[in-house]
Amino acid sequence: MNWTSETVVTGIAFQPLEKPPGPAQPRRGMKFLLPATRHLLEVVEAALCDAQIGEAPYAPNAVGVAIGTNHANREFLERMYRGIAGEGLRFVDPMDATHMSVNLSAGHVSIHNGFKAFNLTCTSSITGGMEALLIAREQIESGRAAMAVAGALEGPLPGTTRNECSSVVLIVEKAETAKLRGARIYGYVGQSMLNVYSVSKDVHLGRGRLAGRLARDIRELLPRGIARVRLHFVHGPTAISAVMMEALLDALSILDVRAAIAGDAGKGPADGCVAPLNVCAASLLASGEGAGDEEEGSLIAAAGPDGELALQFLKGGCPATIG
Amino acid sequence: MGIDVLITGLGAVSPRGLGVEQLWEYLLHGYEPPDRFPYSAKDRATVSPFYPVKTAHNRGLDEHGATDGKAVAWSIWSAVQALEDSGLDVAEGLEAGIVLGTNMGISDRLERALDEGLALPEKPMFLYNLAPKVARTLGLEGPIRTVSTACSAGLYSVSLGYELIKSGKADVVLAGGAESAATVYQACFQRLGALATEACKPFDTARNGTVTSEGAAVLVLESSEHFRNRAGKRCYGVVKGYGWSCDGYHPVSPEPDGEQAGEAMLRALGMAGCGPGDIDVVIPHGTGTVQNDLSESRAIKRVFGEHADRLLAAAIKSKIGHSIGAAGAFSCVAGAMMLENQCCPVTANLKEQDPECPLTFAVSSPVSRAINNVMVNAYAFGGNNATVILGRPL
Repeated sequence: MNWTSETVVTGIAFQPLEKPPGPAQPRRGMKFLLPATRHLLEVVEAALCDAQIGEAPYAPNAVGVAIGTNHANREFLERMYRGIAGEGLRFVDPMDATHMSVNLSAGHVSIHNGFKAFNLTCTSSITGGMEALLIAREQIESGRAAMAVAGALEGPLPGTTRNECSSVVLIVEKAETAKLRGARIYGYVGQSMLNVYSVSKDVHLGRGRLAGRLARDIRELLPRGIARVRLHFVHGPTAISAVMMEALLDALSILDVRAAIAGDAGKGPADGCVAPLNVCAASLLASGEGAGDEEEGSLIAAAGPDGELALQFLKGGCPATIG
Repeated sequence: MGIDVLITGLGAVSPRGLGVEQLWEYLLHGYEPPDRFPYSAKDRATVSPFYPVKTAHNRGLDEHGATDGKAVAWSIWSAVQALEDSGLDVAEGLEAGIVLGTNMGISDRLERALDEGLALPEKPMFLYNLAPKVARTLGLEGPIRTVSTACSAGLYSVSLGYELIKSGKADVVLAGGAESAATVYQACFQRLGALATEACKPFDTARNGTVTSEGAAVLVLESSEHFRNRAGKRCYGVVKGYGWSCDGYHPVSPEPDGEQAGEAMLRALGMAGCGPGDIDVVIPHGTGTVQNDLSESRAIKRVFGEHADRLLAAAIKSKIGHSIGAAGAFSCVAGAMMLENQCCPVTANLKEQDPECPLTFAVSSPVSRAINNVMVNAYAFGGNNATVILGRPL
């Protein structure tokens, strides 16, 4: 088998908010942060701890941050707008202004941890977390970073039953340096893609064409020699994303890759882009199964509402053939 | 032979109207003082200065604007214009990637929905999802990215578009940014003391804040191989490299010495294979806030050293304001036009230059000179720094 991945996952943390957020040792100014940001910082800390990143093995300029989100500050924006509409500018406290941009949650990760290589917030609907992992991997494999915090977070979404925060974080590193520092490796981050496809209004009519297109794109994504994938599909409740899943199965069939559907993790769009990255994390945590099987891997798929499809190939464990 | 990333089409919806030509003409020779932010009419908050995309310029955009928000409508129009400019045939759809950056996305739609008391699903669920809506409208298929790094989002988009072509994932990418007026960010800017009282005066000793604006700008990026194979006619320039960094310093204040801003410049120069002496023009982030301009000046001094005095610069926000998530893309459009026309436009409102700023600006009339390489900078809340190097077509 020809593995091309040079990127590994060495730390994982994810949780819905079950207790008031806050790190073990609260830092100055934390109380002014949005709950979603505090939650993300807590999960980042847990992931770094899991990866046993102690006395910074990497220089600050070698560590980047990529976070996906759709609704991190949505509740804040709606509250602010209503307040300004009612009371005018006096409603806005200057401290509030530090939450106005959706990228500020990721910004706080860099501020709190001193990670300076890059800092990106990806906001593709539902697929933003996987987009973050994709960009983190690209930056590592191009040599522009040695390690990255790749994650997703969501805050409350007014008007839905979603009134809690959730986040998931993966610590990804260059395989070579992770091994040098003796890190535990959950698995390898393989090729990925985030594409948009033109799906006709009568989505089922376009399924064949779509499957052909997907087969072409997936051929370049799956490592040579892969015969079986455990397929995890996360999607919104739209006709487009449903047909995307059918077309994906057709495409794998065209490529003669057997797909065992490991979970149809259909989620409401309120869950935003945390759910797909959660599935990536869960897949790696469960990777004992099939880790030694060189012909098998996990394929995580997530479909957005407008024809977007994110795919991430993961290989759990640390097969001897890798690296 | 390696792949070059060419700029083969430009499109923009700006406070100057629809199209790049009138925007360029205005940057060269025009100046209009800002209007007032529209929500002041409702006596809600403030009367801060603002450059709007005028209602008259929205004619023909309403269909998309009404359903998907102004940022989507303007992105579609800019993309259509850029594709037409490139000469690419899109009649049967197009295999092309799309990368769009924004800060507030379709917050105008959210605000309207809140005014009308609408609930989901009439109230928009996803605010930042511009790119797929443009792709669906134009029938594009290919890689897609949506990035929200506040005021540097448009430049991150161009970087990501460059990456998609260089890596062979796409032959053609539409890259840009879009922003429409949003009450919350205007009010927050105001409360932070970041808004000018009258005009945007980048690098002037009397600067006292920025002037926000809105619009969209889109560039067609194309691989040199694809351009050659289709016998493309017009190439504005080449994206030669990019650099990213993060201050990791403060959520809404730049690192005072611009250390990481300088790091982004150095990385971009390295990727582009350029030295400081190869850069002819800088399009600075230049917001007109005291701290931003000071931090950027220090970074430029450190990176360019003795070459800094010879650099020509164009602070375009002095004329069109700060379009937040679209600003970096507007700067790239301006940079491409500078390369094509070999001319640096005028920076307005610069009466007494801050001695900390080492750049040379055209202040009374445009300066024509050989321009081989342009550096474009964009910085943002969260410390998200980006630099892109554009060069003349080979």
